Amino acid sequence: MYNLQKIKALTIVETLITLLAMSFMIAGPIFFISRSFSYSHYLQKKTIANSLAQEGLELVTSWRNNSTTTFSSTVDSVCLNSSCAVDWNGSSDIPTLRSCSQENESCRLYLYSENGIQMFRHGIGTEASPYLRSLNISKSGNAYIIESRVWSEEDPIFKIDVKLKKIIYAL
Amino acid sequence: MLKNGKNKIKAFSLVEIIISLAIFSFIFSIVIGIALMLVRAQSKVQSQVFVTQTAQTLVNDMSQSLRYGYAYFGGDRIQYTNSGYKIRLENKAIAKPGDLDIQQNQNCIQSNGTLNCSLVSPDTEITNSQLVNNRQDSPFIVFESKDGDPYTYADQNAYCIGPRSDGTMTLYKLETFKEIETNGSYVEDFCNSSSNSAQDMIPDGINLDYVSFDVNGQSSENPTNPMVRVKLKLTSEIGGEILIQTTITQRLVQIL
Repeated sequence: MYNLQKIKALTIVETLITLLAMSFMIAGPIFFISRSFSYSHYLQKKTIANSLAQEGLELVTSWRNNSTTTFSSTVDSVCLNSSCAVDWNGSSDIPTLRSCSQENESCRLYLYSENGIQMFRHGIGTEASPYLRSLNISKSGNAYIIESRVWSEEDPIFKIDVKLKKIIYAL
Repeated sequence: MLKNGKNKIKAFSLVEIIISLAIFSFIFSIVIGIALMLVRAQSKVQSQVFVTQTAQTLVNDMSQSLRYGYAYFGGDRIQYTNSGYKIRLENKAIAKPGDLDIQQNQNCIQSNGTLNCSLVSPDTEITNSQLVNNRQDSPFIVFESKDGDPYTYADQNAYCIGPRSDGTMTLYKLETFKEIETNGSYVEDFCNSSSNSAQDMIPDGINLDYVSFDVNGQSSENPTNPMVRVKLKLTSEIGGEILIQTTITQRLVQIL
């Protein structure tokens, strides 16, 4: 027969402490792994953003290479007083430049798909990508200071904001 | 705990042991499950990072080579695939920007007096497969490297998609082409595992879903503004996928 008076058991405090300790043991690694996931996604998005920002600089450079006169007149009229978006259709000799605002969606890049191949384009494509790209250009004599910015606010904790700068001369 | 009244022997009852084992098994399975989940998650994170780093390395390698290379050529995706991932070039001189000696080379001057190194392969498998300076969505890009000899195509470089021996697709880099025919008038190579010179640029475990080059080499005679857009998508069973895109502008141009 059991002697109910002499049965030892854990108190509620002991039980709660045990549960708390176990919760920490489980939650710690899970938190660590979830942060690792977030960082790897962040790294991936930043790599993509970096390539897109580099593309922005290269497209402006190609415009300058094509004709310094046209480059100067277009940039002066379109990009000196506001941000602008640069885009290339893949076949024309020069990219296109148009103004865009960093405050709204006009700088957003879209995923355009053709024959199963996806690419990031401005103003073409049905699927909005998480990335926005703008060029901020200032001028000093014949030198143009180009800042290509790609950003994404999809994740409020890990915001992507890549800014690459380059000075090109329109001599 | 059961106490025997006569001998005072303490022991666990069968029920106690079964309940204890059940609780232990339950907790143990939870702990093991969590541990396995953590290991899998960590492996996935590492794989994701690896895919990202691979994509970055590929883009950097292509950017560096293409930026200082010249005489870009692309081709048709379907014809390239049907030919068994073969690139064949007519072996003749290449125009290097600003190099008048080469531009005056009769091998590269066409009837209209302008230099045009666009090549038509005579191979029946790739009839009408034309390597052209300007091609959207090309599965490969052929170019002269910075230190290459512009008088021959045998040392052309190429980035191209092709199959591995296990059937998965990868990105190959070619740095030499084999001369064929008795007089060496053509060079060719394959972008697949059968080629001795094709270097697999992507580590095992990562596959190339696609690579697409928008080649804008313009005319070889007067390439004022050559540029190439590269789009590639890498996939890994564990690490997921990454779509990366960039554009490379040639640095050898003479600004007008």
